[in-house]
Amino acid sequence: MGILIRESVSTDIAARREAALRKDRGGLGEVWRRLRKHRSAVGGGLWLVLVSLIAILGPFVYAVPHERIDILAPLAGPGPSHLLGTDESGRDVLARLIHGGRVSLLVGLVSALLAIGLGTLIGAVAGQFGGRTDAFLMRMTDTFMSVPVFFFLLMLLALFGGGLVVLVLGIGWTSWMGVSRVVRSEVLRHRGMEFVTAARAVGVGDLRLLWRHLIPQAFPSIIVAATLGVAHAILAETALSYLGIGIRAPLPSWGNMLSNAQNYMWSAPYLAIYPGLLIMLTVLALNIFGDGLRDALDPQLSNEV
Amino acid sequence: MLVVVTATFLLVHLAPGGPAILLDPALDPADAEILRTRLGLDRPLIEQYWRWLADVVRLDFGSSFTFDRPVIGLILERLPATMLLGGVSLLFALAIAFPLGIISAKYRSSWIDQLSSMVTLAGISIPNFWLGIVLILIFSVYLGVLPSSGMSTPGRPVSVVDVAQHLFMPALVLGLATMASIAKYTRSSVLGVLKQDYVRTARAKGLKERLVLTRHALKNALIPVVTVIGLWLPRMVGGAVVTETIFSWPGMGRLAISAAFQRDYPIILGVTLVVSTVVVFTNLLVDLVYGYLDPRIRLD
Repeated sequence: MGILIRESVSTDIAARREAALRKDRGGLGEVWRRLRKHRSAVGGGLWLVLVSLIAILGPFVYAVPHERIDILAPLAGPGPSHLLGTDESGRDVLARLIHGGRVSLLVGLVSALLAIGLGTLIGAVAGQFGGRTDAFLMRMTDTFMSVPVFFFLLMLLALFGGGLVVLVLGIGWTSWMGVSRVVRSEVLRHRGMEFVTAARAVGVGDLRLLWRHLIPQAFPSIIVAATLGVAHAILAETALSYLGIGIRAPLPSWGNMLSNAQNYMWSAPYLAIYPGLLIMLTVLALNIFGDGLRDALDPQLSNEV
Repeated sequence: MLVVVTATFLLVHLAPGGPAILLDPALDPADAEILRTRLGLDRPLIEQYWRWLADVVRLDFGSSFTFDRPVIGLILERLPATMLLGGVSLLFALAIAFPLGIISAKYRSSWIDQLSSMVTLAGISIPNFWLGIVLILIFSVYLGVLPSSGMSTPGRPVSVVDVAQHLFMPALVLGLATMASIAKYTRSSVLGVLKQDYVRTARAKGLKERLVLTRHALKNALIPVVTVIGLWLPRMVGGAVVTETIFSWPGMGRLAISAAFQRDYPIILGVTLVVSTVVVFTNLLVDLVYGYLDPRIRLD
């Protein structure tokens, strides 16, 4: 009798565990499976991993300092001492590409995170509290969207001078609008659902409800927005650095490596090719990966549109 | 708009350093003081603000510090070049985006749809300044068929062909991202409409597919696209600064950025004011067009 009960309990536990596993596969596991089937997204993801690895580990493998000036060999072609040659002041192009990658990727990532944080906060508050708060915040979002923010950012940086922190804050501050709209609509969509009513019934407050229950519901959209946001931020940083008001020498960035390249196009066209190619491939990879992620997270949506 | 202008005024005057000409080490301190008085920079900020605002109402933006000329003249000189560049870019973007989006929605998943999705993805991902450099590399350096900078060939009488040749690459650079984005949006909008019941009804009553598309679907599908165009206009302003810098296009963007570097307050304020005005009016225009196209949201 005792044995029988124990057996039935253990099969019960096993069954539950299996059910839990199956459920998990329907969640994250299922997303992962769908993402893997999306071939171009996998390619994009691999490129992102590769570029990040090179940016992080590159300086340890290729130990040429990026700021050293080889005065005897400006504009040298590829060779054993400079694998990809040197730029107009004799600085090693490969070393600058690696360090520039660190800077550009980091600026892109951090400013996108800032934009995501800001957008999530504004969208969530607007969606949760509604009424006048919502009207005010959404009016603000619309205003930011209909104003040439990039132009203002440009003038501001030219006036106040750049610097890494100002640049990150500036890009983050001017690119949160899309996220706030997405988060707001997600919050509105889930606010009337039963689990929210249940949470309220057991006495969960507004803020906790938002943080623990509503924002997590918006996570898939936020992750997709973050991927595309990094792409946008990298484009913004490189464009500003190209104009000479973002990242400034001696710190290299994929953007400011291009600002002088235009003057040497006749003698050293490769200077203009490498950094731009890296920017394009990375942004492309982020965009493709973001699209793939969206499809994997919400297959219904991708079937519709 | 007053908010934007006031904010700009404050920010410009708060920026560290002050006008570049006053920072010239060769300048005698006594002369610098005279210059400051002449430029009105010795007055309290609030007085400077009121004066400037009163002048602006009369379309007097003051005189540039560096050029010593009225700002309004400098702006009017360069406004047509920027308008030409922006207008042609937008037309180019729309002329390609609409057919591309519609065709790829109609022949969904066909080779042309895949090609167009590749084009739009690339269009969104290519940094505009790099595209400019690569185009110059191909067409000016290697092929030598297009001029790499300016708006017309110096020393030759200005002709339409000449300007068009100079315009080709900048317009492509400025318009590409807009084109890609609008094409993508047009496609999904048309796809959405093609699923509607009234399209099925139109098909069911035996209308030709062509007519269903042109008479019934397109009209409704293109309405939301108008909003997207409105959203892209402010972005094109920023893009114009970049494009004008690459191609040395004699427009307002280049004027603005060099003024910012020189801390030439009147020019910065003037350009910002003009840009804001243009953007506000185009937004209004987009809203009006939207109301005209879609009576459901017409304003009373």
